[in-house]
Amino acid sequence: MPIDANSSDEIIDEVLCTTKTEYRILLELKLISTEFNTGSIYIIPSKSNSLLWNGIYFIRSGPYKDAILRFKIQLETNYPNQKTPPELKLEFPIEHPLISPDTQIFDSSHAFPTWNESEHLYSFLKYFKYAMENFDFCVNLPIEKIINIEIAELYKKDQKEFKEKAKEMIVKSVNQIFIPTGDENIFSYDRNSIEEDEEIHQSILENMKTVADNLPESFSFLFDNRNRSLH
Amino acid sequence: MSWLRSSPLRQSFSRRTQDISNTGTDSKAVSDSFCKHWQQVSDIINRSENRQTQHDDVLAVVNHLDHMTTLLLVELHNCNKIALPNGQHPPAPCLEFMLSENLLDSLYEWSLSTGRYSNAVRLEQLKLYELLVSHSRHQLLVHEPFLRPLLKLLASCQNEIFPHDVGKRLVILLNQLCVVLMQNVHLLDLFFCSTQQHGLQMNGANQTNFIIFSLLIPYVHSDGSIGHQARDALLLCMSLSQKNSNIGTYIANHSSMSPVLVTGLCGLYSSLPNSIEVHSIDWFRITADDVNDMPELTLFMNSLEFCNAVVQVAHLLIRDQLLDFLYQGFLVPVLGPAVLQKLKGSHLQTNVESQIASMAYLDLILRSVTEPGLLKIMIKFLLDNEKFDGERILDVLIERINSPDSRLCMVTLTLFDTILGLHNEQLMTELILKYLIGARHIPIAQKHKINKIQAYAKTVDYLLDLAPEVMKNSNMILAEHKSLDYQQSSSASLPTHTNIVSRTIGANWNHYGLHNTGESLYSNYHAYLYDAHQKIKRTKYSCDQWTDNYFYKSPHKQRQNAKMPNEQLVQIVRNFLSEFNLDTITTTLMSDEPSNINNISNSSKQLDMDSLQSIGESSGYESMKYRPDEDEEHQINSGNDSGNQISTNINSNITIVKNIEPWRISRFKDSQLFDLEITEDIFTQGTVSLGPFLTSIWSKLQTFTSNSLYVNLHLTGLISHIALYPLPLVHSILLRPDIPTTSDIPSFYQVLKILKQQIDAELPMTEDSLELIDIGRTFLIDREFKLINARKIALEALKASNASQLSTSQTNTQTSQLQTYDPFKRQDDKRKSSSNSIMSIFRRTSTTTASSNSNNNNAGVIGANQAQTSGFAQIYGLLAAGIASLRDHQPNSLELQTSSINDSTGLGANSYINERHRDLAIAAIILDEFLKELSSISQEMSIVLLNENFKNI
Repeated sequence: MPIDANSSDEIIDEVLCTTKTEYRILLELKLISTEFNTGSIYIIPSKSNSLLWNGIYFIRSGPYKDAILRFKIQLETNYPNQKTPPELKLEFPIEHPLISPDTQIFDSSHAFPTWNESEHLYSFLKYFKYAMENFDFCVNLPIEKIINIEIAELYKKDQKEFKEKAKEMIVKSVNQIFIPTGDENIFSYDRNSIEEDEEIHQSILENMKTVADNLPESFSFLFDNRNRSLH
Repeated sequence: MSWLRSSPLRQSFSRRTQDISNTGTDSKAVSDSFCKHWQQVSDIINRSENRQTQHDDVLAVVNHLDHMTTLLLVELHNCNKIALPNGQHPPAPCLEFMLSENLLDSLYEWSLSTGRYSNAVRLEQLKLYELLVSHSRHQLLVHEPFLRPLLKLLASCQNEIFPHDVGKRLVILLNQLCVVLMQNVHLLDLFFCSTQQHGLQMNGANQTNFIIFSLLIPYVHSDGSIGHQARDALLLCMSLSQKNSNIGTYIANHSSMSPVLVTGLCGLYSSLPNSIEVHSIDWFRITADDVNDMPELTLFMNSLEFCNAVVQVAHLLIRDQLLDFLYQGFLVPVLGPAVLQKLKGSHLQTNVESQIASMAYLDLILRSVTEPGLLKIMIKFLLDNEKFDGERILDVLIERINSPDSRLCMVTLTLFDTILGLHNEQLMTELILKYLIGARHIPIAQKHKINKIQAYAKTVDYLLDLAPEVMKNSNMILAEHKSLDYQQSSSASLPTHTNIVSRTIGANWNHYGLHNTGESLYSNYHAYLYDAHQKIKRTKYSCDQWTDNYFYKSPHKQRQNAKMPNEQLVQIVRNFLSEFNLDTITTTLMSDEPSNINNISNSSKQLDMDSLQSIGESSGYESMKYRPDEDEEHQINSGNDSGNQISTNINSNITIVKNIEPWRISRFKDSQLFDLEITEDIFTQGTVSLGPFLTSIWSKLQTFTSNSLYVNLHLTGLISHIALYPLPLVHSILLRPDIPTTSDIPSFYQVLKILKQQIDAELPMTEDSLELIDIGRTFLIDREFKLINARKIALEALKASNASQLSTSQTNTQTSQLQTYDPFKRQDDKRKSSSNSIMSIFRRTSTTTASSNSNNNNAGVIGANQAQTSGFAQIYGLLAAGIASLRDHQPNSLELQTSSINDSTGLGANSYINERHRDLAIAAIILDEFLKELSSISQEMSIVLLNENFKNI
């Protein structure tokens, strides 16, 4: 029987990597659920794929105050060892200096030029939040970091027109979130219930906690998609 | 009431219910008949005044009474069906006749003259009363003509010894009376001071007496259903004592309840066999089936259960008295010496057999006691260091972990597993925490790591790397041959048995998407994770009720809580620090990549060692903690979303903070504590003890490769059990290879590393070694299925026997006794330890045919219970009892197993398969699985404990 030490490592690694990724995701989720104040950002992994996260962001300050944005975060399969930060894509075409007007992907390269396992997703999300709420910070970044130059210019030059545009987008963004989508684990709202602001945040938070607590049992993507046993 | 069902009267019952208007005429006929029967009885009674009672007389009276009883029953049945609108009872002529003519009293008076037939007549009377008490809606007890003769009858029963059937009737009647009294507490006084009220001479004294209770006491230790009913009735009295404190005072002060119970318990304990006949090499604890198997043990457990129940329901006065009696009368003089193997202060000749027996009994007692009060005295018993000549039971138990006798060792390890399963703060403190608080076993510079939960995730790589090389390779080969049906290969080696038994355990694990039905849980990492998740959840639930979370706290902080330090001095030190080090900090920070506040403090701490040391010594402060003010912290917490706020809030000595990007600041500062415990003895290196418990376990672990397989299963199970506690201090020695320890014994990882080296050296990576591993693995998996199937067979046998029972006699007292006996039922969810439920699944087959209710329940929940059994130690170890029944049919011992495999695979007795290598192979497999179990625990912990320290912020 041929004995090959290298291949043994690979197999053990394969098992380990999946569980380690799972537990890292759990850790990140738990950190996020405690790092953000009630009423700002909420995350829930997609029903079918725990590397794909659904998020919702209630903007509480800055020019887009009162907008509600749904977004998705895609992690790579080798998370947390991926080389670049996770991809954050907004579901609504909001105009922002760091968000591509074509793909609606948020550019975090200023704060996170690279990614490694010591980085936490909560700081990535905090950066996203910071950027969304601090236009002054964004427009003053080096020009090559600004993706949507148009809106940056507008912000700098014509505050009045910018504000009008922002107002329009805020209204649109709020309307957008009532449209239901396919995923079971997504934030969608009933127009009547959204009025009761406090309660809804509480219930989202509860929901997140339950999901996070039960994930080891129902972690669907890794457990279900694997057809082979460990050994 | 089967006689009622078979009665020809049933038809008339149904007719009556259909035609309720006819009751008038019918009840007339009934009452006429009743009176006629009584007339005849009365004649006999009158006749007996002149001559001695004859056999025929008694027979005739009994016969008439039987008829009267039936007629009364018919009447009562009718009455109970009708509800009159004004709330009054419908007329009951028979009953009224009986009361107005004072029949019962006449009957009683006559019975006194029946001489040698008195018991037969008494039996009839008891039946009659029982019927009336249990079936009448009327409040008969308030009627003098009913109550008076009843009390006379009961009084006459005192100090009598009855034949079994009379005793049984008496207990049933008393039981019924208790039920009625439970519903009508106001009637209680009728039975209470009965002596004075009725002027009866009882017991030769005119003292207060609760006659029901005193009549029941002699039956408390009885065997069979009579004992059960008596205990039931006594428990009802006990519950009554909570409603009526007179009863409580009476039982506590005037009855012999507590002494009778405790002396009975002592007697029953003393009659337990001195050594337990052990059926298999892997026996380790007494199961419920063992209890049913051993009549002495059944009796003892019944009594213990009863004490438990009494403590649960009784009046506080009784409860305290009983607990005190139990402690002073049973635990200290009987159980203690039995466990210590002492007689009148001197050690008995060391007898391993009786040591094993006493340990197993102690384990059984600890598992069966559910009542907190009783548990408390059990714990007090374990920790008492006055009553046993300065010896402490717990210490003696710890010593036995390292017994050279592997059976004693196994029983001891199991006992500690039970103790850990209690999740008791006091016991955990005595066993482990006491030695770890203050973290003296960890170098000063490393202490801040203890509460850093995120580091747990990295433990996995380290632990799994400690697996023996041969296992790594064997696992790899197994994975490669995955496509070849795993089951086929293993069943091929054992063609005869595996055909009979179907492998079904995996059925419950389908949600993993990993397992086909019937696959082994061997090496299933996801099952380990799931298991760890469930067990940690349960353990944490219990530990959340503790007085402390036992996270590492610096001595400084603890002192601060007790007494506020001199604020001024702290300020001076702080100013000094800021002046002295500002520049250095700044440069450090600038050169480093921006990081969090913790790093700043960290670097400053290191730089300040010298300066602080001098200050600390001169000021008399043993430790100094350098950190921003509490206020500042709060501001950071509240302003976590804005970087600007932070830079202004933090005062001048760390203005550099503003360089930290706002999005990198966590709400929780993971390591706020930086202790400079200056006067701590740095020479303690290598001399800190982890306490006798951990030391014993470590030393047992060091002999891992020469321990027996079953000892290792329990040993690893126990270590995993310790790791399941959500206590970072405990984890610091079990799940944190990144934290070095300075204990006087090799660290856990050192021990594991040595074991790996030992196995790697003695079992090098060769074909032969791999072959041995294969054989060992097959043996273990086969054992797993045998255990599962043993249980399955037992359940099937149980079903069959239940079915046959239904068709046969229903009044078999033996069966009914067994059916109600279940010493392991626990009402309290929290204490439903997994081992308990596992044990209840895997009771031995041999006796389950006798059946018990609990087994029936288990059949229903077996799926759920199996989900808790995935810990490999449990699959392979705790289930061991189940295998005993198979021992006659299949080779059980390892030797036989291996040789049979050798024969079937054609290997023969090749020289390389010597015992040592075979043991090593098994040890390697167990070590490999143990490491997986530990890593899964560390992974789960990394999530469960995250931010737990900041829960209340």
